[in-house]
Amino acid sequence: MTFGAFLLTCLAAYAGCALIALAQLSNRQRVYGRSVPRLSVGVALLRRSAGAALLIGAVAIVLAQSGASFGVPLAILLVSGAAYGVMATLAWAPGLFRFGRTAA
Amino acid sequence: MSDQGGREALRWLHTWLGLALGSLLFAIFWMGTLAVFDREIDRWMMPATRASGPAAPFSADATWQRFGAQATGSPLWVLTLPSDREPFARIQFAPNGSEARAARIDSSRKGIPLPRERLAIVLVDPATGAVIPDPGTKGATGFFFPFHWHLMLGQGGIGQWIVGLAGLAMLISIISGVIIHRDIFTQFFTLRTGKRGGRLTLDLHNAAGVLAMPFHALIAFSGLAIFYFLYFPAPLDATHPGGERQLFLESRAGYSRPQANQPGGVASLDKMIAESQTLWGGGAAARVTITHPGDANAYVEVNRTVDDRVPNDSRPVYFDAATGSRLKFAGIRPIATAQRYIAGLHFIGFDHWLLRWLYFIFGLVGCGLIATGALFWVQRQKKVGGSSRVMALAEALTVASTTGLIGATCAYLVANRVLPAGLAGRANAELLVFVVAWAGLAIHALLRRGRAWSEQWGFAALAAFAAVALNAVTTGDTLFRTISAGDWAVAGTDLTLLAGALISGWACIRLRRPSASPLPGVALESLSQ
Repeated sequence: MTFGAFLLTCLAAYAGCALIALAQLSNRQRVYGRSVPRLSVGVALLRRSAGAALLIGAVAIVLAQSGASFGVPLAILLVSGAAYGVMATLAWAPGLFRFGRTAA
Repeated sequence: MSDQGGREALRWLHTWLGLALGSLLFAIFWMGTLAVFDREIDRWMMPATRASGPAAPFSADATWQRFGAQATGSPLWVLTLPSDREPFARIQFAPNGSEARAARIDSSRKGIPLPRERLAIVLVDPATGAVIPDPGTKGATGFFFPFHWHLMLGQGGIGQWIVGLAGLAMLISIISGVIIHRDIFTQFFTLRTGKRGGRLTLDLHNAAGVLAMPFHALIAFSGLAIFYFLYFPAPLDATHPGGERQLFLESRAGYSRPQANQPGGVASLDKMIAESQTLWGGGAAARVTITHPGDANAYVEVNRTVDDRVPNDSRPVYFDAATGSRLKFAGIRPIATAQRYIAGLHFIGFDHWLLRWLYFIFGLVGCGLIATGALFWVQRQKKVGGSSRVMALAEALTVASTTGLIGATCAYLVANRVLPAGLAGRANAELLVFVVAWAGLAIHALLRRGRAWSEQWGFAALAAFAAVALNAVTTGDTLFRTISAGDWAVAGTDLTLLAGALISGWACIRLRRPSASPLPGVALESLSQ
């Protein structure tokens, strides 16, 4: 797997997990504060779908680069790693998800 | 059964499986995590094997001519060729007068009728041809790995059964854990670092379990799938009267024939290797085995390396030893292919460094999962006012089986560097140090309630740092030198030990603060009551 593909996979998986996490009210409150409104059902579904699409994209990159044999365990572990990355960001540096805005 | 009743029943199951087998599971997971880099740790523990690899292509014929005479009368002669992870040749056979000489391979029902651990070993530096002196240690491949899969209780398969039971308990705990985790989706990315008491511990346990669940399930299931023939003997007995051996021969394209009790020679092994590589369509040979060496009916098995693939399928090719003519080369059966892939996911014999490091890191996450589960139970019982004697025992057991085991492992590595090279029974002396250190740390955990956690993290930090320093002093292979020389096996082990020392030291200091209780939310003073 090339370094570029590895980086792209990690970014896509991280972004996918972040989108899914930030569709959840408790996680949005960590980032924007207690007064942040709940997302509408449609917007939440859209964000989760976009997140899922990014995750599928990340898995596809891994499988394309590494083949099915190595790709399966690699995809599992890289996606889990991205999830841990999002969890750590929410726990210790939630402001990183704010992108300068006070509420999304 | 109502949803609540079902959930409570599973919570009871999850709790008691964890309590009963948690310590054992931690040991299995810890040793398995270390075994991910067993060959690299071997290079660290066996300085004489830090060879640089063959100067020219390695000749199996020259090795047979040099070492083959001792093998006449031995059931097997095994040559493991040098590789990137093991840059030396290994020759194994049953020497004259050894118990292994009497092994009857053809009449055995066992899948592996003569385990290679029972054979004498000669190590050869491929660059110089010199015999490498006995390393005097079991290293990681001889201790961490076997401890992982049979707890050093290989006789009669007892250890494999215990480990299998623990693996099954792990699978059940994973499934029950998902069901009893009421808010699994809303708390998917939750880690409340500001919370005290059992809340943070439970968050850590959930994070370690949920986010890495595919890995934990994969490891537990694949571990059980490796020994399917042991755990499900009834179908095997019904379909294969010849036992495991018949199953292996049929499903994995094996070959066997009895000896003729007539003398016979061995044709060119290098030519057999070359022919095998052509049949495989590329790929290096990993091992050459001569069965009944010196007999007219001797045959040669050439195994392919699995460095470049996940399935643990070495695609054996069989040759008549005397003439070099091919006897058999066939693909393995479809179900065996699937089993070999699943087994390969567990064995990680492949040469994929990113994947190997990910397995190591997630193995440590698995250790954390088990440890936080036990810790959470102790915290909860303290909160609900459980018996202080039971609490003391439970906490001591948790400490001994987690930080105690880590400390004992570091002591094992220190012993490897400290014990004299020529000491008789050196390998067993290292194991004795491991056992004594573990027992001592267990007693320490009982006697030093409330402080055992920080003190044992401190012990692990000191021992890990000492191991790195002693490696530099006793071998001259400082970190600078090994990194400059590109000896990443030794440098990686040193760097990982240093990282472990730093993390352990941080944990020790963090837990020693007056406000920091080893059980968050429970005041330090109350632990001594």
